[in-house]
Amino acid sequence: MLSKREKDLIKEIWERLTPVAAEIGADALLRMFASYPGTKTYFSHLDISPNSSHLLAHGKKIVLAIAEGAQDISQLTVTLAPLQTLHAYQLRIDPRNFKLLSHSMLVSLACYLGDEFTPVAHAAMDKYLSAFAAVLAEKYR
Amino acid sequence: MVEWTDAERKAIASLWGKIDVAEIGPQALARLLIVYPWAQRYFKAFGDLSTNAAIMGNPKVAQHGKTVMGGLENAVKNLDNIKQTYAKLSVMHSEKLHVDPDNFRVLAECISLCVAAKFGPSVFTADAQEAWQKFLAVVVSALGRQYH
Repeated sequence: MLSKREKDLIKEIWERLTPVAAEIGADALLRMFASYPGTKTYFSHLDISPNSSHLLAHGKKIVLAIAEGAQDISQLTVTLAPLQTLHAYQLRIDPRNFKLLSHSMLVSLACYLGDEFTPVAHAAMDKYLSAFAAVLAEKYR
Repeated sequence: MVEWTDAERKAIASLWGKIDVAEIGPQALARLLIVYPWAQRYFKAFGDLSTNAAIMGNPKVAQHGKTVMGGLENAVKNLDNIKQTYAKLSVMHSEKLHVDPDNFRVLAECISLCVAAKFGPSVFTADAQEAWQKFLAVVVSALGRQYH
């Protein structure tokens, strides 16, 4: 469960990262591809080499969606409804991969936030990303 | 047998050379207990774990964090024989301590995050992360191997 303080912290962090959404997103994706090569199988149609425009655009999309969800976490199911449909019926990414991206995203956050990535922030982010992933997978079955 | 590329061996050695076991170890263990509070079940003898501040200031947590992190030294020095190196520890964690081996994986994640926060993206690059996580995954696997 997320406390009000945690929700505020999450919202504040993602608001601050919105201007660098492409960089953070691309960094997280690159880390995921390097550590978990199986995840690359979903991207055979894109150029996912470092600094490619595809990677930056895709990273930006993902981070902006996460940031949007953070604006009002109690409304996640409503906010994510279109993305739920997309992932369940079109993309059909095995939802086990959401955990891999979540971890990679946490590493990117840790790298960029450094000391600010306190245990409290870490716990809050981990909980939020888990909730996000769970909602995203809701329409799969 | 685990296959390590030269680049991976180099990355692991380089990161290990920078890591202060007495700093990262306590941080990682504290994070495990804060972010995954159910892990506290194994540390009833450690005293006050009731708040984040209590956990972060708890000397037993710090000492144990240092011990666990220091134990990785054996793995770094025996990259080609991690299974054997950790066999006894695996038996101990299974038969004496009764630790759910999934906790090893989760602690490994906490360690990686502490390392990432400490060294930032220019040191903890995607490739460095890959090598480091592969290394920890082998240790985690070795620790879980003697469970049955």
